[in-house]
Amino acid sequence: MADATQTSEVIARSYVPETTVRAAPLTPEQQRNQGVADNLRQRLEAAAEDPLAALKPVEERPPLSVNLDKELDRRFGVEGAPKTADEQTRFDQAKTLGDAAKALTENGYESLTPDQQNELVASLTLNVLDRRPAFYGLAPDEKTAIAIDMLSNPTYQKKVGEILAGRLKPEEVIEASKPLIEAQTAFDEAQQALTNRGNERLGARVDLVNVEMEMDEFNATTKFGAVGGKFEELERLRADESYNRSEVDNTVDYLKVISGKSDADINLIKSQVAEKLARGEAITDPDERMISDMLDLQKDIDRIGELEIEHADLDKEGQRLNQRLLELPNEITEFQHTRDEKENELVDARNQKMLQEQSVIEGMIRVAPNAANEFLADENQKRAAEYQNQLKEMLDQTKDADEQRLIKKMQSRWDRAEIKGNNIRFTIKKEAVNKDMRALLVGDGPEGILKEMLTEDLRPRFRDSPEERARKTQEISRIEERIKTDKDFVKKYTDQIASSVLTKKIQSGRLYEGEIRVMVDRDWGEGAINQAIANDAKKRELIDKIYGSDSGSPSYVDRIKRKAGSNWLKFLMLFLVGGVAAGAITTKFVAQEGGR
Amino acid sequence: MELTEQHKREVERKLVEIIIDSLKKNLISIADKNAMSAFILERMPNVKTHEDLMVFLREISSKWAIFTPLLVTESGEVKDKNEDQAIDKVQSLTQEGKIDEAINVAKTTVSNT
Repeated sequence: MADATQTSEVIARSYVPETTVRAAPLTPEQQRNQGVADNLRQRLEAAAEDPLAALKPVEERPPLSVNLDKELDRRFGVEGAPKTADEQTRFDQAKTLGDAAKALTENGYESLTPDQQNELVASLTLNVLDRRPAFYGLAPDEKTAIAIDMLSNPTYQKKVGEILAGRLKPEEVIEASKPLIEAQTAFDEAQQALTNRGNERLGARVDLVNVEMEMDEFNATTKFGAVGGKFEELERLRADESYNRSEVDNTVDYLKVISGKSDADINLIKSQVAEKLARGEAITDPDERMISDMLDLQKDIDRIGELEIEHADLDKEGQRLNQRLLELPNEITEFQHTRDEKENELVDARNQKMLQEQSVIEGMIRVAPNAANEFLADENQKRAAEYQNQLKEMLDQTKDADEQRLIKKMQSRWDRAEIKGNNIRFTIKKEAVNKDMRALLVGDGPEGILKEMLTEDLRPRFRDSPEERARKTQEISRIEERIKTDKDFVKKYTDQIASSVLTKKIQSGRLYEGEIRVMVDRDWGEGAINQAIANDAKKRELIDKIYGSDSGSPSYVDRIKRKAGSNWLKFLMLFLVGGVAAGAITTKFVAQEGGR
Repeated sequence: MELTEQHKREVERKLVEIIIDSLKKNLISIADKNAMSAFILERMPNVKTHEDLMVFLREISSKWAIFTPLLVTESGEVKDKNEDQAIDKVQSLTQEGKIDEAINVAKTTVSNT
């Protein structure tokens, strides 16, 4: 039976054999196990009365409302064409970032790989926490704890999903793609035209050489010093031409007169002879033999004409090619110019596309920090609204005219209300807060501010009537007298003023350790800090969780002093830095710090 | 025998602690944890008596050995409680003069344990 003095945690630990614990380094899966175990431990501690609540699935997360892969894919390169190496690199970069944001939205922080977790923590630290004065005083591991807590917050995760989906809208037209496609087509056409002209010039040069070589055959002496073949042939044919012609005429006359053949007969025999010669048959008939000889002579006569035409054609072609070779360089220069223009346009279009792709990557990088800034802004809005509600309640509960005037002044002294749509958004008036903070620390303290708030509308004006001046003077005297004598009134509102200034200062800027030291030394200081903590439900809960509720002392400062020992100021800082920071610091982290 | 709410909560807490420790020591995966959680969340609400609890623990231990030590511990506690209850009953039956019934209860308890 179990020892009744053992806690259930100790008993449970004893069940798991120590020998099975594996040595470091842990695999990514094992690291995730640790994260899930820590998360389960926190949930178990938070639900002491219902331990099984820790096992219940975390609130269902809707999947990302857009198809991440598809939307990223169409934003890189030209749709339908394979991506270039650079485009693929940029796409991969954006996808790595998008995948992490998607996993965070859909499955929570613990589902991320250690690399993804480290990237997001680093991004939030660098882009959000390091840039907000409220977090300046924190050590790196403290900022890491805040970043992890924010990344683990379902509200933050939902915001990440909304921002991510907003940057990958399916209806968005990728503007830079169309000009790039057009520029690519225009460049390809210009390049092809230039190539065609280049090929034509090359072809013309080769053709001209061939023509010149063929023409050379008609020269008495060729370039190589020999007698041109066709010159020689032509010379021979011309020398025989008269004889050949008379022989042909004689043959025809003979066939007509002696053999009694008509022109039609002669033509028939001609074709029969041609057929026989083509078939390789012997010509035995005397008439046919005559015709055959005549045809040979006629061929020599016709050949002269053929050679003359060939020479004329070659001459003409040579002139044409020379002319073309004179024209083509200018045309090529013109096409080169066009091609260069189109190439520049293509480079511009590619640069535009690259910038568009870079902006998608930048958008992916900024998803987590943007969500963090919105998350923190929302948190500050909630606190501002809570503060305004508190003032409203105070106003409803009092009939005292001075109190009413003070509360109304407080409603607008440090907060500026702006109507945005159907919502009222509060912005902290930093200058007013800093001025009052200086008054608290080195001026007349909260009492000075109290007096100023009550009397600022009573300052004499040039156009005041004597009666009005007298009334104001009398009213100021009455207020001064009340401040001197009504200790309860003064205590209540100086505490309220000091804590309000402190709270607003914490929410809007950096609080230095020295300022806290000065404050705790002032008679109003500890009360103001306690009230600032009491004003924030998250801080209250956190302190109660770590140091136990009340423990006989209602003072938060006192409890932190007693429990945190020599580190109390550091811990007080930790609770005071940023309205959000304290809420974001995990119980575990602060408890660990407290144990050092 | 009825199971008190307090005891049931203790067992539930021990179940969660075992899962946490097993995850910490990498004896189980996140998928195992999810399956175990689903099983516990489904069955535990129906556990009303010690007998139900023992059936549940036997079943979960047969699926995942990490819960066996809890089964062993709880078996011991149930046995002790059964014995205490039997002794009370034997005593009251004896005081009422029902000696035979008292002997039967004592015999049954001994044979069951």
